[in-house]
Amino acid sequence: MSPLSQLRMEMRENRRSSARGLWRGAPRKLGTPQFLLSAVLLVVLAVFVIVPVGTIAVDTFVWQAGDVRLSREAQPGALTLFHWQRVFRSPLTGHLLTTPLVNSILVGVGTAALSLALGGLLAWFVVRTDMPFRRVAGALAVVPYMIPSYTLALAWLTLFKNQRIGGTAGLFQYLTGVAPPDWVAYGFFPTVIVLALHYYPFVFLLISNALASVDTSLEESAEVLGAPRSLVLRRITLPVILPAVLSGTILTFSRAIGAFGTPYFLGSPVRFFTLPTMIYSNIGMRFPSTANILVLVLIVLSTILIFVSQKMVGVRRSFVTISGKGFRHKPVELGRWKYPALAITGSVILFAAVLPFIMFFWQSVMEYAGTYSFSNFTSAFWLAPAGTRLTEGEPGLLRNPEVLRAAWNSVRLSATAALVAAVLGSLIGYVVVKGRGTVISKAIEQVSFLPYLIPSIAFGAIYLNVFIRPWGPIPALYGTFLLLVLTCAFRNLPFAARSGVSTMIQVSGELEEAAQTLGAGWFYRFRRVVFPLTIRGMIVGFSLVFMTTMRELSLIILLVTPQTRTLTTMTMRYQEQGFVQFANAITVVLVVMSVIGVWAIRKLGGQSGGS
Amino acid sequence: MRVKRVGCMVLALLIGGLVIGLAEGQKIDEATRAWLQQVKVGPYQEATLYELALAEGEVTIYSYSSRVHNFAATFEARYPGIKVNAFDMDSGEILTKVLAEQRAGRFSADVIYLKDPAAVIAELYEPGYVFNYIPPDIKHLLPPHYREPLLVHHISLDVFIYNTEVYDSSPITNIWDVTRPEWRGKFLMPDPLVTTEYIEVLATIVQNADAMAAAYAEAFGEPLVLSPGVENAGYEWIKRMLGNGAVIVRSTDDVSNAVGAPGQVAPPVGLTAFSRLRDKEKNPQLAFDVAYGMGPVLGVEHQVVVAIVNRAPHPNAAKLLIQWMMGDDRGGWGYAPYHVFGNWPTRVDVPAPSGVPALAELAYWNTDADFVWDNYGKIVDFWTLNR
Amino acid sequence: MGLVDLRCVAKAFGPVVAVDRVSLSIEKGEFVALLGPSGCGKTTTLRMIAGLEVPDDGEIHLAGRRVFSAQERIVVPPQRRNVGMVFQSYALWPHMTVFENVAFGLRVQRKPRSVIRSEVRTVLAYMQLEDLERRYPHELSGGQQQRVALARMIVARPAVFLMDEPLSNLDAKLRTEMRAELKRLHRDLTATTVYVTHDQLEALTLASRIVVMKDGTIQQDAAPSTLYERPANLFVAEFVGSYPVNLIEGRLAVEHGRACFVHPEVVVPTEGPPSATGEELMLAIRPEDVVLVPGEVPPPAGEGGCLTATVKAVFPAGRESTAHVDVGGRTWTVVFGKGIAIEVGDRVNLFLPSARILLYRRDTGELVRERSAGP
Repeated sequence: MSPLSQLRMEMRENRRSSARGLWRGAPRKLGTPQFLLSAVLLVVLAVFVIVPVGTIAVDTFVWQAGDVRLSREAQPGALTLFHWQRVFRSPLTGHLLTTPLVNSILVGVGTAALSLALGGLLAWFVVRTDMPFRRVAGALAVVPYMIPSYTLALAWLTLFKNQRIGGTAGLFQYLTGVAPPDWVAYGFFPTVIVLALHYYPFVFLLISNALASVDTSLEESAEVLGAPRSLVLRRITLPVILPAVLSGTILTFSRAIGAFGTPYFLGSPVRFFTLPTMIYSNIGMRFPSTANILVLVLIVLSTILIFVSQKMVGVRRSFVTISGKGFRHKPVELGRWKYPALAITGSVILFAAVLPFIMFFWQSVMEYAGTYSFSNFTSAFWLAPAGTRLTEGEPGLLRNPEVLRAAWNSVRLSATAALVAAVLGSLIGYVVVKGRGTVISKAIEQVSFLPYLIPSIAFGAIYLNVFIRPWGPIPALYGTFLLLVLTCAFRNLPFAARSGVSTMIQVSGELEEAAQTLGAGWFYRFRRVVFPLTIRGMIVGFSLVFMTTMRELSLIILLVTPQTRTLTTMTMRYQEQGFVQFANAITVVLVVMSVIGVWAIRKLGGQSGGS
Repeated sequence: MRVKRVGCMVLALLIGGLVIGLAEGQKIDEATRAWLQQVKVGPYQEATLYELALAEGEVTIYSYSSRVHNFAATFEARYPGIKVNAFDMDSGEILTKVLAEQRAGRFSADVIYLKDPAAVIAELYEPGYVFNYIPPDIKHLLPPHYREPLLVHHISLDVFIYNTEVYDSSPITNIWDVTRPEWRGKFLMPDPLVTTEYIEVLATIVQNADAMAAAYAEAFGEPLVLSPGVENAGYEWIKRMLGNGAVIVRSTDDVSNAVGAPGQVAPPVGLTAFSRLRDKEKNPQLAFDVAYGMGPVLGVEHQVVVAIVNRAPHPNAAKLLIQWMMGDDRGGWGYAPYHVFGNWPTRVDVPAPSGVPALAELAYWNTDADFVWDNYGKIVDFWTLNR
Repeated sequence: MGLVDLRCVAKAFGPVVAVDRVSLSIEKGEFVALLGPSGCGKTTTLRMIAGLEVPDDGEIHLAGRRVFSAQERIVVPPQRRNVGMVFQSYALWPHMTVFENVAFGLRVQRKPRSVIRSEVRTVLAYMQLEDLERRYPHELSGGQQQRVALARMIVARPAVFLMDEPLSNLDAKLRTEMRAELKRLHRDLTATTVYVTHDQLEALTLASRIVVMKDGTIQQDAAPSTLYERPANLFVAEFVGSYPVNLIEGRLAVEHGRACFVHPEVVVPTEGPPSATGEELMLAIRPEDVVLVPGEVPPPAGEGGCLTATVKAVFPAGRESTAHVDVGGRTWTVVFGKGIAIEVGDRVNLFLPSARILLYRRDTGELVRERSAGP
């Protein structure tokens, strides 16, 4: 046989064998723990995420009961393309879809960019420099997210309001006599600023977590080689924190395009409407199909963003910072920039956290709402016994057993949901990163993000409808505390999953493999190696879910029972009765509990996490 | 077209009108029919009802108003042994929750108490998910349009308001005034797409198109010429009002705070809930009042309805609770939380709260649930296109 | 059967074939280096032995046990293969002290506390780490981290040591030091070792056997001396050696009744009988085998060919200097001793001893004529 023909023959054989290997390879992987875990996660996500989203999608093709108000042809329950035509090809398209969509994207991009700048800068100051008071700053930097964003919107108007919407002019006009133009007072500009001040903590948490594990010797060696700081930042630091930056961008962008309250509050006076306005109003008007189509548009938007970021993270390997080579950690000396840095950090925290908090507290100790004077002080809304005239018989907050029970429920719900989400999120991060590039990994990453874009009230409604009756092996969960936990955990899963993914990317796979070659089984190495190395990321996920659940209202309102009433559900009651003081006092309590919760989990995690 | 509902209570007639009413046009199944048969009790005596309710031990109410907790407390005090499970949430949320429960056969709510009668009637009442119940002893004290198809607990009004610090009397006297150039950008109203009861207001304005046209002629001294493609004077008002730079805000208190804030030079006017006048008690600096002299009417009413849920697990306690909610001839503890500024009782024997004119003295438009329901989509689309 | 046995093992990542039907048998006590440029499949091969990659095809045996078989669908996971591995990044766990890192393998085996303590201490002492057991990895120097990684591997007493470029993260001085350390380790423990490297010097100095890989296939599997003296093909010839091998194209022709390598500038008689003449060949000769003949000094005795070249650069380096010369448009490296003084631009004579030349077919790159072993 000539060498050439032999070669050809081998090639043929090779092709055959590799083809055989391909289909044979798949079932072999079935047995690996990673694959089993992926499969389990997919099933869990299918039940708790795909089914709800699928419900939303299917509903858009079905005439709903309320649709008889839209069309005489509506036959509730029958299939139709009416809703899609209404949104995409009707005289309403521009008002319902195009203009709001463009506005939403603008708000999303603006907010993400500003959050990135603020969060990134603060994270760098706190984690990597010798700025004074960095520990305090680090603890306070996340507080703005605990404070309802409408407060900041209100504060903005207090400062920059002009006469357009009546009432008294803002402080700016009062002091300078110049009326701020509409674009400063209302619409895009203030919306972006307020949202960024509210959401930058996402970026802050993720980036400071990433920065904390960067080997400073990398940066130092580059500096020794004479590289200017900007270059070091661009070539060394930035690539390492890229996954965190992308996760932060995805979270803030998606939240901003999905935000309703602040954009509406600041935008409606100049008729600057975003997509969520249309979503919420259609939900409110009980036109769920129209709302669902717009939700799907938001989902597509964010999916594109995640897809792009997967591409960006997928091709590079430079993110591993916990590689098992020891690394050093030396703060950057700011020198004369020390105090400017402190000033920037301080003013962000002051305006976005401290002042609003003080306002809340102040407004909870006023006898008459809106009158800022010492003679107007009262502690009745906190401490009065039942039957006090001022509070129309309601006992003070701290004496009200119902409030205390609700507070306990809030903590219990938030902590449990956050724990469930954090554990799931870190498992998701594990299988997504381990199986990077595979279809299953991409699927899990995408699917776990979906709940983020479904409006809370819609999400709650879906869970109500799905879990009100037994569903396969799952009993009817309606009315149980467990359903509340699951709802909050899965709706906020994206926080935990994003932080899980961006943390896991930083951990070199060799660390786990080293344990594997030493004979450690999956559970052992997950417990002893993977878990301790990623606990910081889990804490980030936990904190975000905890803080969010603490303020959750519309998500759970359909699912609560009097026994599971949370603190937030009580604010509604007080607000409606005009007890601004009670409502504000509850907000104060919520913020304090969130701060304590986040602080406690860090302490706890810090101890078990070792380094 | 919807079946015209005649206020006749088929089963009730048989036993003296003392049971939950089943009206024509409601679709019910056998299980429900059996339940209706079983729970009808009578003749009515409070003591008997209490005894039966006591056996049930509790009652669950979904309420649009958080003051449910107040009347629940007085109810529990008055009828020891019956616990009230009170949920407060938006009217829309109540609809969603009851629909889900009914479709899944999870019968947990007894009473619902909410706004938006158009949706309640179309989505809950007609499919037989809720039933009307009128406490028999007060039936004669309720005007027919407030007891059928569903019992109306109380009504409130949406009205025009002005700033009393700058103006001695209302600067607007006709609904069309807000379309005049001098009020350009100086008229505020809540966004009907967000505060959806304002769709009822708009629908009622559209329904009274003839009166609107007449009011225009009165205000401008010439007949109204409709814009191309606009159907009637009601829609024309919406179009011109929006075209005149009306400021759309989120909620009723945004309107009253903007109109009533002190220290303004040229304060705006607005359309908001009558009950916002109550804010002045808690914040004495606010200076606004209702433009009582508005033509053609000072405002539009809103109804709040109460009903018993299909297959309610505690039907007798539910009846007792509704009885309690309707109060007595002077309001009573059950009604007390609602016997306030801005609400008017539907019982003719209960006087309006002190400080407000009796309903009979006010010129306002009634809302028509059927009309609202049938024109809802059209009005929403018209608003969306013109805003 | 060897201690480590790979039979026709193949692995592809998507469309890229990383390892193409590799067969390899390693005996107990051998120190085998897998050598090749990056992307040649050497690390994948190592990881398949460890079980960290699952091959697409073939069989793997470890210590007489079949740990992988595509046919029978057997995959023994890494934790049950009793192999030890040192990673390029060391993969020390940053949240554990040196002691905990090293003790990990024993803890997994559920050894009693006291046993763990004494065994870890012994190994730490052996690796000269006894004072550092409470430190965390980031408090150690690179060399110390490397020792910890080795200690962690040997304490678990694996049947095979697998090392993936363990020295590539160290500076030159430490690398020399650690090479000696690894030699000592292998000698003391007589551990079977598979060592992946792209550094041929490391492979030549450490290994008892070297497997050169390229594009997922084995190019040559031989003892270090054979590899150096008789590279099986042009790729190996070029890859192995401290200086790049010198090359020149030519043909095989018969001159004066002898088979000769013929190039316009030089004719070198070959040893052995004439074979197919006219064949397109590539002559390769190691720089140290080229004899530089300065000026008029007659060429050394013995068979060979002579050619003239121009000096392009000189690198004096004490006892043994090198120079770049131009040969028919190709740059050759030559090595010469202290006594010779040349300068850039000089014309020098180069003598190519017949006994030292290697001839490769230009079309396949295969060795066509092995030179006889030198004296």
